Amino acid sequence: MDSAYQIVVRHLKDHLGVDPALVTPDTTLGQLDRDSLSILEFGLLLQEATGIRLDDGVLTFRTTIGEIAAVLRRHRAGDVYKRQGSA
Amino acid sequence: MGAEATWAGLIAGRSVAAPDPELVGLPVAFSCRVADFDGVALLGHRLNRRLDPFGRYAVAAAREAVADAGLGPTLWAPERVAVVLGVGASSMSGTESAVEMVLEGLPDRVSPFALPRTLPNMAAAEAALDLGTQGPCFTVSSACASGAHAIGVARDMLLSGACDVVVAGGAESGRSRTSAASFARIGALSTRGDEPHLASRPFDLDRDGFVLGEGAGVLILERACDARARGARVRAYLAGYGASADAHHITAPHPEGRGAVRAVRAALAGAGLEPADIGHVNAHATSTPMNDVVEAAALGAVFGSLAPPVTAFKGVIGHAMGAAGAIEAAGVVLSLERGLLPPVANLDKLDPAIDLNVVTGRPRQARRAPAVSTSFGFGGQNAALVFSPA
Repeated sequence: MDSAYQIVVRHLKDHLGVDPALVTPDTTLGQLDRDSLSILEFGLLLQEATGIRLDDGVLTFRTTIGEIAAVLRRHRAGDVYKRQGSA
Repeated sequence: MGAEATWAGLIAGRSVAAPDPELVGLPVAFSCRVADFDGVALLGHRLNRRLDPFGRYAVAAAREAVADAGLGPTLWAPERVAVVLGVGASSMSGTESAVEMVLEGLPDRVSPFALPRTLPNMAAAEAALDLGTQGPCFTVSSACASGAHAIGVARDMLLSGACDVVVAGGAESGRSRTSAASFARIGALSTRGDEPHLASRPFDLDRDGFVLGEGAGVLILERACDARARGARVRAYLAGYGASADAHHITAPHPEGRGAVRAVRAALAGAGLEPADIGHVNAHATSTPMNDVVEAAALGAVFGSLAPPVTAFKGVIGHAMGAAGAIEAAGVVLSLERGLLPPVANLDKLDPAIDLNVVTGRPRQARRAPAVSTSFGFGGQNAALVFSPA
């Protein structure tokens, strides 16, 4: 797994107390925590830690850990900024 | 942390006040902290993250009290169990974080837990969520008398039949920068920053204010007949409760302590006791110059030459505000059980304006007799509790 994925897993462990052994790229946030406020705060903490903005709608019960890692990866590559800039 | 460790600290009579990293750079930068509190180990990651300190202490103390009483989610009818906790203020540390984001123009960075983490009612709500209790559940707020009022209200609810068990007490953490700055601004805090362990000194001639504290105290109250019927270990009886308002000033007590006198007399009358029946008093005694003198005058008015021994805990644990009256009530119960009165910490020279029989230096044997605990809050809100030995 790449570093973006590892970052997400580490923050799941640190902030939601999720055992990394229970997480795969296909695991959804809803499978890990059924509290919408916890998921909102998780997004906030991930944003603080990485500097990458995650809009409220990005993280839902159905979002997979692999998808969150992909968002981090795209931001790092600058893709999102480029697309936002051309929109 | 915990009742036994707190009792041991009270008996030792040594202040826990120390420099506080949360308060660095403020005019008063020390406090009395709850020692050895490992929130993650006690509550788990998620609950610990969700709660501000006062909520963590409320849940931890409620669990300890319920276990001590031999009760628990499988041993009671949940809809007959109430939670009534005293909290003096909303949790300022969590509020500060949210306000900071708003002022920085980042409202979408406010934590989704900003409200549930800070609202005063959540101390009781989180304890009920944790224990699964479904009876009446709310917070009582009367500043530094909140914990005592909560226990009094809990007693009335048992007498009215509103519930069969009450998880009653108080929780607070005064250790926020806003709280420290605000109390310092009105001159209520000791400024003895070079010797913080000597700063909280109730009734001492050189006292100069209180020391911010934190914590929670929780008692389990039942009707005596119910407790006996289930074979519970009864630690003490809550015999009386009295409450009053000074209607005098927003922060200062009535100079003659008239409201305090009425609260204590009401508690004694409710218990069917005379002043001569009282074996000791656990005083509010914040260590502020004015309040200690006024409380001494009030106790003198009630007890006169009877002069029962007076002790006070704030020299050791500081002022836990909304939790103080509940922590002190728990300490009174232990004093009655063990026949021992902890000494007032840092009392080197009794203020000559204070004519009380204060327990100093070392613990004193307690007469086997009922005890009074007093609590007074901003706004002139007063509460007194009377406990009798089991």
